[in-house]
Amino acid sequence: MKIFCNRSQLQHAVQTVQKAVASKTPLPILTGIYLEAKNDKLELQATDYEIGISCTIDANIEQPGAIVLSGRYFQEMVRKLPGESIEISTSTEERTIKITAGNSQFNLLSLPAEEFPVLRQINSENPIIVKDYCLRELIKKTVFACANDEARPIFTGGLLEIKDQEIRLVATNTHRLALKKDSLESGSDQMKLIIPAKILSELARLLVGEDAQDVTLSWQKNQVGIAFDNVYIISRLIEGQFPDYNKVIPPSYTTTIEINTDEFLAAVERVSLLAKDGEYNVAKFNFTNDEVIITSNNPDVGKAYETVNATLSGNGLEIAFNAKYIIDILKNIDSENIIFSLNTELSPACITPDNDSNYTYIITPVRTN
Amino acid sequence: MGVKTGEVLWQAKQKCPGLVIVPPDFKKYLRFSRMAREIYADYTNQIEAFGIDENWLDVTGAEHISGDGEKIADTIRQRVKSELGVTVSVGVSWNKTFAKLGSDMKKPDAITVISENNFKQKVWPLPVGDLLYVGRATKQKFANRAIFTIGDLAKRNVRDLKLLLGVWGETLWQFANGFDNAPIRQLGEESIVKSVGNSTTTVRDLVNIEDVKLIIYVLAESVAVRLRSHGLKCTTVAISVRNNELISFERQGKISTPTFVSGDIAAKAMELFKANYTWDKPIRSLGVRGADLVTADRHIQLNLFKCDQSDRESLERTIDSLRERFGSYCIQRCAMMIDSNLTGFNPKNDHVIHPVAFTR
Repeated sequence: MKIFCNRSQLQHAVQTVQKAVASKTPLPILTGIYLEAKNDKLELQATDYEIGISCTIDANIEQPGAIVLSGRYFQEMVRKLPGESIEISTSTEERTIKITAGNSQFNLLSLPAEEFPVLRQINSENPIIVKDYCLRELIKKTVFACANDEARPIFTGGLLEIKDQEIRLVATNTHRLALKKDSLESGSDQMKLIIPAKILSELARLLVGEDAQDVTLSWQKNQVGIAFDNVYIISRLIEGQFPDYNKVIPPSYTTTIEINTDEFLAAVERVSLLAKDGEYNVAKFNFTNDEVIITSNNPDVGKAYETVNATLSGNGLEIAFNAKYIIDILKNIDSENIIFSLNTELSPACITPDNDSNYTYIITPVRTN
Repeated sequence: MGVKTGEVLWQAKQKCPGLVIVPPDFKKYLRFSRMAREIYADYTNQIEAFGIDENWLDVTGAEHISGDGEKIADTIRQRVKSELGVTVSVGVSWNKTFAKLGSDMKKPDAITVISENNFKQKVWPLPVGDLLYVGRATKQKFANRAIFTIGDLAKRNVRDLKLLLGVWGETLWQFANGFDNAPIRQLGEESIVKSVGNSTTTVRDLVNIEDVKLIIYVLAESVAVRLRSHGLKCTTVAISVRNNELISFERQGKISTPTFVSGDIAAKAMELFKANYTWDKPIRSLGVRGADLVTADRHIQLNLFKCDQSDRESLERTIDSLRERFGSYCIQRCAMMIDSNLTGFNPKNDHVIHPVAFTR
């Protein structure tokens, strides 16, 4: 193999695939980045069997071929190489790869390319096409609500659901639930996929192109393939039955409060400073006619008290929440005001932006004694 | 004849055809154990139970009333024999390890005195496996390093033992040298509960998952009751399994929210069992334990998908009070009726062995 390519393009490609390079693995080949050169294109791939990422860039190819390089060293090297053009060539007899840029030259030992599990793209009959900004928004507004603990694997992923020209992403850790909807331009079959939170976050990180573009999702059995721009991601899906989240969204509320988002967020953040009690950050919220009184009490540290103006309709209520769950959602709401809807002090409550009916956040209270 | 503890009856009969089998009467056993303790209480208030039929007594300071250790041991031995009609073996020493060792040296109805002057002759030639807390695994590790007797252990460099067994290596070395200075607990003093567990050796070997389920539910109920009585919840559930070749293992796992509900504990225990047992051998004994204890009255983050636990919690509390008033068998799970021979024991009352807090 012998190729010439642009340094910044190569760096972008390496950064793209880098998250899929396995760090802890019994299989050394998975610690490598796979490079394949053919038809004036250079394709980079990495996989840890959970997620696989491929990124293709233009290259001037003198001699096609495939190699695998140590992911760690290749990535650090490309970032620091001088000049604009990079030459990569192999010498088969020594099993090394020569990388030349400007006046610097590296010889990296190669890993056996034939051992690399090359990604196979998934071809499903009805792929979904969704705009990148729409998908990014879906992910950013929900993925934080996923569970971290592996004891309940089903909740470590987000449920991507498509139904009647509507796309939804739902994430929950059983104590809070975030749901974001959007409409699709083209209709599609119904489907439900549970995508690991790690992969969703990674996808949101990569979907930052300046021009709007289409993202194509195809799936089969327990895998999903995501294609956009020059990138292809393949991921394992979480298997199992996601519980019926519609059931936990209360159909109506007896109390609704409108509060300024930023003021409320700042107040909750301050009060939560003293709210550390065991593993919960319990803060109490007393909703009255024209204000919310937020308090926390930690016998070992002290007390906090703050009020925020609010407009209430319905009954006043005192309720305790894990302050972290409130802060998480307020940070993700862009509108000026939020609507906080409640029923009783022991039933789930709902927080939504006042201008976006497609975004719902359900939170369970804490039962205090 | 080669009959061993824990052997099944038919095997023992094969080894010893004329074997006389006396049926056990656990209640009687406990009653006599309690009565023996009443006798001990005449001599000291520092009585610490080790299992159900062994106790440590600290008689320091009682010499001018009742005589020295050997004298008191002999009085106790005679009184138990004449008042209760059973024999006891007593070890007299200046530390707990050697006292226990001495009680095992001469049986039955005997006294062994291990003093600071004679322990090197009496204790050091004994096999290292006789020392308290040297079990099968530790014994094997010692054997690999040519430590066969307690003396071998005592004479080893303590740093080598630390490398071999960690902190425990140093502790065992101290035991072997008679440096054990753990105090004997006062009567009625209870240690802080770290975990709550019950185990049982079943009346017959368990051969399928249904059997196991029954036993796990019985044990889990007892664990749950005891957690509730301490005002605690557990966040980790552990099971121990021993097969009919007496090979055992323990596995544990976390549960998402702290609980003292027997159903939750049993479900986790079953999950652990199913994930870890391959049924290559029938099971002789099972244990369920709740660990990582937290207080029960803390805040509870409610769950979206599960109904409020408080109903189930008050249900279990109601069952507790029913059982307190009308006896433990007044209310039972249906499954317990399937094989009442197997499940007809009450681990809470019959099998609670207050654990050995040796190193506190």
